[in-house]
Parts: sequence; C-alpha cells; structure tokens
Amino acid sequence: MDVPADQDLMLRFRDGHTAAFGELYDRHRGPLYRYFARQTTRASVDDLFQETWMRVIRAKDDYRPDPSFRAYLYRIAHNVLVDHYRREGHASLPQASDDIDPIDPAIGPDGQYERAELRAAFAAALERLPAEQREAFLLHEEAGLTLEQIAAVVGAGRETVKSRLRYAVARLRETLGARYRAMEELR
Amino acid sequence: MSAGEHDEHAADLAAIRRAYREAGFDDEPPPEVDAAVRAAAEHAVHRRYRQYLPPLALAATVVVALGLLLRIAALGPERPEPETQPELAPRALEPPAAPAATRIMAPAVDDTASMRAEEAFVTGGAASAPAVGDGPPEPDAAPPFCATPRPLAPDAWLACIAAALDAGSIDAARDELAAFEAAYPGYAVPSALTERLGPGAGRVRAAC
Repeated sequence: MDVPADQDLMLRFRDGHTAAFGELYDRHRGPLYRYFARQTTRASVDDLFQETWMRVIRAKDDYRPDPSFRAYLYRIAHNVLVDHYRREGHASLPQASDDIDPIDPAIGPDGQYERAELRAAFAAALERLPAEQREAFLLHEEAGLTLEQIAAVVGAGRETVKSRLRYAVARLRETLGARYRAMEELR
Repeated sequence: MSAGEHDEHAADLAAIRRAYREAGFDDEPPPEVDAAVRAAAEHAVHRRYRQYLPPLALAATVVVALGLLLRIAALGPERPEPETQPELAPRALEPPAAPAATRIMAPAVDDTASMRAEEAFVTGGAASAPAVGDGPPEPDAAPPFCATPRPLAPDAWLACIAAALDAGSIDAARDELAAFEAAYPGYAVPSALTERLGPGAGRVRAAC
C-alpha cells in the first residue's frame, strides 16, 4: 500500500480532510517536539511546539505543494524559535531529566543506566554548542533534512550550514570525551 | 577540507548520530498538547465551511422570496386576456393614446380651416376609423389604458390614470381608477385626480 507523501496529506488537509492532518501530525510530532526540547527550556517547549502547528493550520488554505513538507514545517519552527529568542533572549536549556526510565528488558538496568548517563551527557554537550550549530545538528538529526534544506530553513548558505554541522560534530565529540571514545571502542 | 578530513568528519558524524540515537531522547508532547493541536485542525476545517452558511442562507432566502413574488405576480387581481389578444392585434398598430391625442390635439389648432378638417376627420371618419361617438374600442373589450401585467404599483398606476386624463381618455381613466380601487381597496386616491374625473369618482380620497 502506497504511503501518502507529506505534501499530499497537507493538500488533503487543505481540502478539508482532518484525518490527513492527523496522519501528518503523527509523523512529525516527536521529532519536532525534540527539536524544541533541545533548544529551549521545558517551560517553553509545549508553547513553541503548539504555536508551530497552529501556524501550519492557519496557513493551510495558502499551502502550495512543497518539494519537502518537512522543510516547510521546520522553516515555520525555526521562525517560531527565533521569535522566542527575540522575546526571551537565549534561555537555558533543560537539564537532563531526572525521571527514572522504566526498565527496558532488552538492555537491563545497567544498560538503562548507561543510556540515562549518555542522554544527560549529550544534552549537556548540546547545551554548550552555539545556537546555530546546535540547530544545524538537530535539523540534520531530528528533522532528517539535507544540507540544502537546512540552508533554506535557516536562511543561510549551504557551505555555511555545512561548516556549522562540522563544528557541531567536532565539539560534541570533544565534549562527550571519554564517553565517546568508550562508545567507539565497543564498536 | 581534504579527503582525509572529509572522511574523518563523516566518521565523526556517523558516530555522533549513533550516540544521539542510543541516548534515546524520547521527548514527546503531552496528551493535552496533542489534543489541542488536533482540535485546532478540526476547528479550522469546520470554520472554513461555517463561514459560507450566512451567505448560503441569504441566497436561499432570496430565491424563496423571488419565487413567491413571481407566483403572486402571476396570480394578480387582473389576469391578462389571452383570448382577446387576436382582437387586439389590429389595434396594436394604433396606440390607444394616439387617437385620443389626435382628438384632443385637434381643438387646439387655431386655424379655422384646419379645425374644420379635423372635425371632418372626427365626424366623417367615423365609418372607417374608430371615432368618439362610435363605440370606441376602449370600453368593454378595449385594452386597458395602463400597462399589464396587473396589478401595477399604486404610484405608477395613479400616474398612468393621470396620464389618461391628460390625454383626454376620461373613460379609460375612469376604468383604470375602478380597477385600481378594486386592486387596492382603501388606498387613498389623490383628490386632484378624482376631481378631474368628476363627482363620484374615487371611493377613498386622500386627505390632501
């Protein structure tokens, strides 16, 4: 069975089919939420996430087929984030969650602990990145955008985005430090 | 960037991406946010259709009203006389006002000779042309002076009756007034009109 493309779902939503929006929302809700979660405070994530979708909904009648709905969505998200930064200034990022994850039988309690440690370390490493590099990494990793698409989203050149991503990776590697080396040794 | 640096970067990127996935960031929007977004989408779709309801309702009202008006007009107090249409055909060549106007205009000619000619037309032409004393075509089977279909709007009808008087078609004006009062019983006819028609004309007179 053919899976409808994102832009087809958006066009159907434009034409009045709310079920199409539901499917579109299910596809992108997680990555988009994490895009905001890694770049702003926990108190703001819900609002920014919701605002992004509200803008998508409000603009539905003007939507024209876009080669990448994903890029379209994150272009809106980027603008929402920029507006937020302008209003609030760069805010501190959420600390790694202290919530205790449920035990995953596939990895056991030790693996669970390792994962939680890695998550905390990664979150801290992302927080230390400059905002542009952090966003480039998240658009690449969470949103799955290409360099060209990231460039279109953030309004920068492809080479600029490429440099940001390279520096982000280098700094993450440096920040994660020993943990990164340990991970590689296990490969 | 050299090829080696490029490869090193690619390897670093791959490793970092693996680490990111293994970190298992599983942030997701809470249920209430999901519900709010989905509800907003539903509302946007239904609002799009609801905005057409007032114009549609107005259009439907106009259509119904027009239909009623047309039906009322078709069932007016005086139906057109389709049976008499063939009879009227010859007379259609001669507008009702024309002979009367001719008859009225004739006395206005000052030239004595012209007046005698006109009188001749009036009296001598009785055999060949409709004349005043020769059972003019207007009464009974004559077409109404004022336009059809009926009923006309009151103001327009009264204006037509006044025009009939101006044209000297007293009988036509009387007939039209009678028809007017039948169609609009209780409507106040201007006294200036009834006075011109003579005593007894007009059952309801305007106060002024």
